[in-house]
Amino acid sequence: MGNSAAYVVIGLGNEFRGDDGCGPAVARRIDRLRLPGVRVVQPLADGTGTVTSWRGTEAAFVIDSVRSGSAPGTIFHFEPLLEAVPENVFRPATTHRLGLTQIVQLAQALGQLPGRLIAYGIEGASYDHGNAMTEAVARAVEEVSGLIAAEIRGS
Amino acid sequence: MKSKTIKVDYLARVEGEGQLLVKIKKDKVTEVQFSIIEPPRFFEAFLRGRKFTEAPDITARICGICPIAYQMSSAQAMEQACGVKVEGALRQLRRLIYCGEWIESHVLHIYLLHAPDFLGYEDALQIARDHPVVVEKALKLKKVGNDLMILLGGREIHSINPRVGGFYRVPTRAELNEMVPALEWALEFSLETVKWAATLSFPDFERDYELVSLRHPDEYPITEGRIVSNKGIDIEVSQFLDYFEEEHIPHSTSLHARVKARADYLTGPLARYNNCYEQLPEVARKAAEDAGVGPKCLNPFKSIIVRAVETVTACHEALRIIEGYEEPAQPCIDVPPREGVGHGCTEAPRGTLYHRYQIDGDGFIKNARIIPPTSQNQKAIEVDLYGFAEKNLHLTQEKLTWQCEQMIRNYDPCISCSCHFLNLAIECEEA
Repeated sequence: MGNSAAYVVIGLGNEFRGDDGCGPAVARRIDRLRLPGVRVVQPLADGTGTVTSWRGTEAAFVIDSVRSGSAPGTIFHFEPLLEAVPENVFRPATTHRLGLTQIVQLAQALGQLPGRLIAYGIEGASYDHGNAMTEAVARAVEEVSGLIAAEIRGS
Repeated sequence: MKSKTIKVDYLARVEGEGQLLVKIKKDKVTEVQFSIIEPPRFFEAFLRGRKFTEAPDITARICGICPIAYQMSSAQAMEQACGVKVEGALRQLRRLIYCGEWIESHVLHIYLLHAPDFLGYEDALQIARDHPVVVEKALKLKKVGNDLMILLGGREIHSINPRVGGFYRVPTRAELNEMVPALEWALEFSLETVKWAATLSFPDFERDYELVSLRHPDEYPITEGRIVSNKGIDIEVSQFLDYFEEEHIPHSTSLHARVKARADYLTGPLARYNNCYEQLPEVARKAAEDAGVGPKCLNPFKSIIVRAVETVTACHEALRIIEGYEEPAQPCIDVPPREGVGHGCTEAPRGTLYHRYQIDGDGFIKNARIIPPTSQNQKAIEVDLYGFAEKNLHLTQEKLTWQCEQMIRNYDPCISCSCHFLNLAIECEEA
């Protein structure tokens, strides 16, 4: 599990809780493209692995679901190392794992940030059991996957 | 008469969701309620009618911290029901993946969940800011455990490779050898962790616990052994329900366990350490001795040192198993179903995990019983809090609240298997 890849794509969330699976869904799509220099990870455990997975990379793309009250499928785009991220965007869904904001703070404290950090959030509507995403979120998954692939290919 | 209430709404450094209420009246603790507020999850009910081979994958989902424990207890129960025993290299591989789980779970608890209590920090993030090198090494050590689980289990949690009868795929010798440098470093850093833990300051508290764990004559207990206690229990795993019982408590959706016709008991690192000190590898015993912990340790706050000693044990065991590994001819042995009852018991990082299944002749589960360690420890946590709070009424409420939380975290409670928040309140009435 070395960090030789220039880019890492990290899909956060639980694929068995409806729209919370949007992060892993984007990660799977990117993985299928087999882009050179790109590593795809879907951290299942507490989130500390994210810090080690992006260490030393040029850029890390992180995708997570968002519950901010916006319309389902709304896409958020932040560069947390360059701008403030509103508090209600990347909150942890459970105390079992760190949320993106906490992961960034931890990596910052340890001096293990990636060169660039690009965070995509997708507003979810349903977090029920099961792996079906709502239509608007599924469309957003396609769009975000395309945006990330284009950015990597264009860089 | 006046009353005071201290409330902590979110205590995030436990794996679970629950509440604690301590009522103090005229210098007496009148009530302690450690409540699990999560709705029941019905795993035992929905296992009924499923194939016996599905139990390891289904029960692994009970916990994101210790899924291997669930897989191993359920697989062994099914094998016992079917009259099959997994031995040799496959048994060793089970112990090896379990070592990975002990490392990741213990290190998570030592550095990220429990250390802040001792160092006066609100959370691990604050430790990372003040001591980045320590936290960086802690994450690296934890990752060694996770990597072992990925190598043998296919992913870091909810492994997909273990099964009834063994594994779907076993690693090659070369794959295991690749882990050796990381494990050698892990052993060194876990020894440093023992030394570091011994420098912390510990509240003065001991209790005459009934300590319950597995014990095996030849090895520190992880996957096998007889169930023993320091108060005379020495039984086969299949006798578990003859000696222990669970009861419903109005304030908790989780059952409280106790020794039949006796009282609460403690399971977990402290119990294993006291019951099985002789089975610790020399390097771990020496580390404990150097840290000032002898063969007996009854201060629950010192469980942080014992967890570190067990981390040393897990790293040492992992290296020993890899050194002696010979790839088995088959990744699993055949387990044809037969009608019967099977019991499985293994040592999850936070204590003894018992499973019992009845299956029919076609291998369908007729009923299931799962008794996790935190359910067994719930009563002991309450009794500890009674004793500890009463002995420390002179402390400010802020300090007492802090140390009561710390007391709960001594157990590394995985109420997760049920919960996310722990609300803590101390009500103090004075004349």
